[in-house]
Amino acid sequence: MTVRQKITLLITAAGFLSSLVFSCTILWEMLEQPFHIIDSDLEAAGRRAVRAVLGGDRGKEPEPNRSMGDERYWLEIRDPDSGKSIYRTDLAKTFDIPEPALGSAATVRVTIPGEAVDLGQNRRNEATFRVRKSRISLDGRTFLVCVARPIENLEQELWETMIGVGGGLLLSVLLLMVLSYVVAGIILKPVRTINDQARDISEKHLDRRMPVSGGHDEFNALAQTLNKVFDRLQHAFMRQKRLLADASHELKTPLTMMRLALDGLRSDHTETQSDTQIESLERITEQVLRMERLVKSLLDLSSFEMEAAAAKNPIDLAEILSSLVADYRTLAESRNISISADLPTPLEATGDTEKLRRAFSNLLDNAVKYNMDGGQVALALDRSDVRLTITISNTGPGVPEKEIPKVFDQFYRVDPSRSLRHGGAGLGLAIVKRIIELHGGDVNLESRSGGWTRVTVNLPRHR
Amino acid sequence: MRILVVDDEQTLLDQLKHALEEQRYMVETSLDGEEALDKLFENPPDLIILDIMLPNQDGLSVLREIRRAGITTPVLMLTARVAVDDKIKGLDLGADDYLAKPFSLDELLARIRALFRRAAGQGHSTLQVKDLRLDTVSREVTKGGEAVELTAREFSILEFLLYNKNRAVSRFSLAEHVWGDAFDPFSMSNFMDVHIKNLRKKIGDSGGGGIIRTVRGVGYIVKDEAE
Repeated sequence: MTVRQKITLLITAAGFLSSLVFSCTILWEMLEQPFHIIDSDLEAAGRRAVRAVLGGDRGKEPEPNRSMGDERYWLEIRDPDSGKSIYRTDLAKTFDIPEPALGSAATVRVTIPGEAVDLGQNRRNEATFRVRKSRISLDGRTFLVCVARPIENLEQELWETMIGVGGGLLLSVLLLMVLSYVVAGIILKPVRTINDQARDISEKHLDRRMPVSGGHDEFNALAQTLNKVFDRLQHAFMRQKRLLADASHELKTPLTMMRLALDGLRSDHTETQSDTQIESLERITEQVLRMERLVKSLLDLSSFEMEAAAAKNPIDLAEILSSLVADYRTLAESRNISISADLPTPLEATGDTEKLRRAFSNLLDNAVKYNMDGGQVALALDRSDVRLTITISNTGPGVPEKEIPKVFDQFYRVDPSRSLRHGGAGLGLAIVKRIIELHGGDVNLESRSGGWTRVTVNLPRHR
Repeated sequence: MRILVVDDEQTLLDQLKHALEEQRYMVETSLDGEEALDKLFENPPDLIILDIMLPNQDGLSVLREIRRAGITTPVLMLTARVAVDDKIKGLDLGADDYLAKPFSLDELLARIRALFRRAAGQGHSTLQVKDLRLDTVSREVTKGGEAVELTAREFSILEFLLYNKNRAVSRFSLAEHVWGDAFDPFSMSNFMDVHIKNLRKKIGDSGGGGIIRTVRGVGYIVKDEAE
């Protein structure tokens, strides 16, 4: 679940809860209020009835059959002492109503006999009444009055109100959901921006930083903290590169001296040296040369890494490739390896001749070196409007599948014992990758262990 | 021939002095740029080997002053740096050649000889051994007056061997010279034999007491006189 969805859910839940409490309060009030009104209306009706029925003439006996005017009231006036009925409306004469305690009101359900009156009763002849029983005094005399009226319409009304409130609640929750989703998006936008920018600050663009807007919010603080992390990272990275470059550089002078001393030894005194001495000298020279080569490769790699892009000179790639093929053919022939090259000429491209020569030389070198005696190397080219694809495949022993992602790493060797024999240091393909990347291209290696290896180089045609 | 070697590393200076004196050059050394300039103006040598990285005043500014003073002595720059910029800058300032550390003695000696030949104004700089002649400018090879067709690599091998006439040249430095930095000298030295075989065939050389001889444990040598 994304943070955005979580925020949306939380805001919606909180909003739903608070509006639920709010609606319940309102609903409660709304349900209570009508009964107050009805109750006071019943009270007033009772008074009116008492006044109408008994108050016309002071001291006069009540007229049991006198009409009160409103036929919708169920009303009975009794004498408080004897409990004898003094006055009844027509409805009260038709059916009885369960009476509440004195001085209180209740809502009751009453069965109305027959279809005599229409009081909004249902099919089972049931109707809901609000009934009130109270003591009413008039001119010093006290009466017990029980008044009731049907409230079927009110119930209907209340029911509708409840549906209305519920619907409103549902609608507001939906609206809240949409709004909070939008709001969560707005809140999280800086996070997304920071994430995108942090992703852009890769190994090759460590000098980039996130824009800080200057405000004092949390996201700015986050951006600033991340920038500091990148500062430290860049510093460590540069220092590592610097160290590599400096160390390689410092190694060059002692290597030169060793080399010169060895050259002197070997050319001056061959006649007086024994076979073992000559062999040892040969071996020392070989190792010094290996170190030299390693140091040169390291320096090259670190200097390539410092560069942002290769030169953009117009070059003829076919010429570079075919001269390399010619060179390696001699080497390959000594092991009965055949090199086939299918190259259209001229093959115009842009780039740095020396660097590309170095890259393809490394690739051809590998293709010949790590091949079986009597094997084949094939160089093929494919071009489209936007890019050049050069594939170099060989019939070598191949690279185990799980090792393939590592072959472009520095100091990686498929088989360390094998490279000792060949004098490599595991920098060749790392250099190739860097050079091709400097040219805006990419390089891939496919292989079947025990079968073949194919390296594909893609170079953009126009840069 | 007097050579002034300028480098801030005493051990390297001693080694170079020793190696060059063995080739019968007169060698003067200097540890820093200012001292080198003093020696230069006092008594200009025939060739200057100049390291770029020097204390006080770096090699490039020493070179600039030499050329500003109108001294046309050939200058061979030495540097541990690989940046092409340095190379271009050095050559622009008037250096005659450029050698990156680490280098082989064979390569250094070959370049010194080439510079001396150029300075001597030999328009047709011809290298010769017995009846084999190699013209470094027209890039033609003749054997007993007859033209010999060589590939670029074969020519380069022969040229290097001739520059180092009478010195044994190691297979590694030969491979390095011919194929340059981009190549692994190990793969190259392995099939150097193939190229030498082809080359010998083309110049009608038997190998044993011929022009290009194999030196056990070292590499090859071109000698003037048959032993």
